[in-house]
Amino acid sequence: MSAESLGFSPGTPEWIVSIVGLLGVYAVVIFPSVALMSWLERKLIADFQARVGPNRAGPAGFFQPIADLLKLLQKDTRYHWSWREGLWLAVHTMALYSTVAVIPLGSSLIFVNTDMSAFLPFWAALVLALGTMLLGFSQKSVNGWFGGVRVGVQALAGALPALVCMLCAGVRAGSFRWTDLASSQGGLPLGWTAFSNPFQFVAFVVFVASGLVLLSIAPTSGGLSRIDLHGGVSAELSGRRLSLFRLGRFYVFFLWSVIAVVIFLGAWILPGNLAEIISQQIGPFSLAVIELVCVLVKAYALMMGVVWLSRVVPHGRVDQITNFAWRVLSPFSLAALMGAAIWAGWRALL
Amino acid sequence: MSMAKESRNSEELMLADLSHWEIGPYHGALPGQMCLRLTLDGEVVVSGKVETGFLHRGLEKAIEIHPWRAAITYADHLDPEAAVFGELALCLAVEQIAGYQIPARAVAIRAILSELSRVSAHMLHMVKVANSVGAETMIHYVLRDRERVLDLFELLTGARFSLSFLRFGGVRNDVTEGFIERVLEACVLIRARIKEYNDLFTFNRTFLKRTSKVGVITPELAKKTGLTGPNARASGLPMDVRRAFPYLNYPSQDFDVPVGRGEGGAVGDAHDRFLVRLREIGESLGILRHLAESMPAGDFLCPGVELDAATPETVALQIPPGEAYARIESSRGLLSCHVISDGGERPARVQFGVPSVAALAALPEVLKGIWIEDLPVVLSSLDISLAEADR
Amino acid sequence: MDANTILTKLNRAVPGVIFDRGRIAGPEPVPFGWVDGKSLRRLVEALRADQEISADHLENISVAQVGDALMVTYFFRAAHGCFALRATAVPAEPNAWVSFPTVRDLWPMAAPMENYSCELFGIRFVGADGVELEIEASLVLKAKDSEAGSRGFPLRKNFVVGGSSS
Repeated sequence: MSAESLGFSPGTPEWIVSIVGLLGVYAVVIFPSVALMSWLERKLIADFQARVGPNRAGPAGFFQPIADLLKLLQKDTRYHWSWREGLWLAVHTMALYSTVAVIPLGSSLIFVNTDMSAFLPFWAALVLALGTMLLGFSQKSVNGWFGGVRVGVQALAGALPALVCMLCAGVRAGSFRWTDLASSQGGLPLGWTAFSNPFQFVAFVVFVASGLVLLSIAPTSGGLSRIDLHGGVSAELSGRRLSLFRLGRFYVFFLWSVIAVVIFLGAWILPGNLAEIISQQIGPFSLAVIELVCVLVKAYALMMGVVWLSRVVPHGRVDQITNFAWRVLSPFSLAALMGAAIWAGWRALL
Repeated sequence: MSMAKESRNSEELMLADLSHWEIGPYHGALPGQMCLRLTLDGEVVVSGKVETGFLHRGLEKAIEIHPWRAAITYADHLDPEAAVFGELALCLAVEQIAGYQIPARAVAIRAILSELSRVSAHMLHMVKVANSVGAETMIHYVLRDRERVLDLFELLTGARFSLSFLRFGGVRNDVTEGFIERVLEACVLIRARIKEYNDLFTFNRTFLKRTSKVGVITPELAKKTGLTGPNARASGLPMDVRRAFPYLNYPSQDFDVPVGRGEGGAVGDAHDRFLVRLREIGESLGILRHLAESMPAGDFLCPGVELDAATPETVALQIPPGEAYARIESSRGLLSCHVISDGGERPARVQFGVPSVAALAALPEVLKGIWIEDLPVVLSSLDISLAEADR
Repeated sequence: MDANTILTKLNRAVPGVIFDRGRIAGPEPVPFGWVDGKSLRRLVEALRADQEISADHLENISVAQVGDALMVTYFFRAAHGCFALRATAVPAEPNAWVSFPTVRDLWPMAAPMENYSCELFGIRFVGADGVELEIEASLVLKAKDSEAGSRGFPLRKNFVVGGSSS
């Protein structure tokens, strides 16, 4: 989307457009997503578990996330707070939000679209794991220490299968550019990469599962275990720091889901030539909004599925999780890559 | 972890890197106020020491310095999660000294209360185990159904916890109108729900991975530490006080004593302890149904016994000199009560032999070689009550 | 073999050790034998060694103060029934420790019960070699150093409950 169509006067420096765009994405997409998803999650899970869930703040408890945020913001934090902890919380947070620039949210809502774009969030996830680990180490508590170690080993175990699965999608699209990854897919489920052939489906499942391991998202959240470590890495955080950390945890989950949607679940592609019609009849701005909604709805659905699973299924022990990642996810991802490559080669020959 | 014991020798354990971690007296992984001093090799527990006594309330002393009737209230606080068992053990012993003949209806009400308590305590155990592995849905499902049992307590006694309903010579009141019907209803409901829990949880692959071969108590260790109740039965020792030393009207009840069979992997592991309790709920429901259907008519209190009226004129209860010893099967195992009376207005001595101390004594042995993440699983599966152990 | 036969057999194994018999009432009455405190250790060793009786389970150790004396009752569960052994010891002064032979080396399950009696009744348990056992101090024993703890052992009759909770 050109800068002019967003209301910038011609000749506005590009860095101003970028900053405004980033802040816009942050304010319009990520913050509301946190609130909406946390409300949706609590309400739906309460329903599944035969209880009521939030019901006081606003209609059906809709404003509960806002109430929670306000509470956390005005909470006192503990006094001793080392500079190391501050540093690593900062690294952790920066690693997270640097990826806002590369997160693809529609054909025109992409800030960085290079041949290697798809790898950028992936590296950010690794830096994030490192930041989380060192955040845990810097807390001088047993909980933080064990939490940090668990986050670290899980990140190592989950990285390989996740990376290989990303290659699978790249093999089909022939590129790692966001727009190429998206446009290689169709608008209907059968045209999505995940359902284009059995190998890609395996790759999709492994990609989601290894993402959970890589980023320590429940049910594989040993490093943030509530029961034995009082929250692991987050055990010593409270108030604003805790809300910053939690926001980060949510964002990384959201980021991973959006990537999974873009490379495997049809991205923002609309069926038929709907996109053209909308663009011509209503305007490019409306198209951007519709594409954004399309990506978000798919990402939310994927997240809800994972959350649902994590509430029902018992959580794994960290050695069992890493074992699973190395011994099950990795071989499957490699098999999927080989299969996907042969499939793509066969198609090319035909 | 079994690896620590089997495939690594002591040098490979890198003893130089052992670290220490002291948990407690307050920690979410612990069953109550206690202190665990762990020596760790990485995340694997090498050894653990247990310190208790944080919840000592001087119950036995309190019973001695109060009148006889007050003893029931204190006995009720022995184990707040299954209150009726403490009362029952005390009443059975005192009634032997006083020579009270308990009417059949009171016996049946007591048996209903103890089986309901067993169901509710075992359900709480399931909640704790589900919590220790992070299976949230299971927690809420079981808690929802446990409320039905607590509702029944409320209907009968007016209290959901800490019932104080038994009296020397019988019970405080006759059953409330509609109570028997609701017991039958609850039995049907909970039996249906047990099937649901089974489908959701019991043989769930992840749950099996977290509990099978974890915290194994061999029959030898169970014998050595004097373990009783579901914990010992999970290890293959079939002793059940209701069978071995019958009390109340258990001789006329038809029930099985479930024993651990190692369906999760090893006999006496955390999964067996969970499974044995799940099956005991089923057996208790059968007993409850039979009790409710064959409820005898008659009095609920031994004739000639006065209930406590809280007026200054109430004559203090006097129990003739003598001593008695009663054993019952509480939800955690063999609970015994030794009462000595000197004929005065207060008990000379009331002593409780509680099952949780044996589980605590077995703990250092069980903790060896487990992972830190297994700690809550092992502790919750043993169903230790610190209130009972510290008295 | 019923409980009374067991007691007779024990009396024969360590002659004259059981000087009186009694019976504790209950849903399942428990016969017991009064044992001379000095020979208690020999008696329990003989009992543990007897395969035929197989008193594997020491169910309960109950201590009570009767007059000045501390009366310790051991409740056993054997293959063919339950029985108890009972012995007494008198402290030299109201707040003095008394000694008793330990049985935890024969029945490991006795350890927590002995610890409990040690802390609340002031009984030192003495090993087979005559050395007093180290009891790991729990909160009650630690409290003995405090003002409240200096008043004696909580479960003895001379201990006065009182004081403030602060």
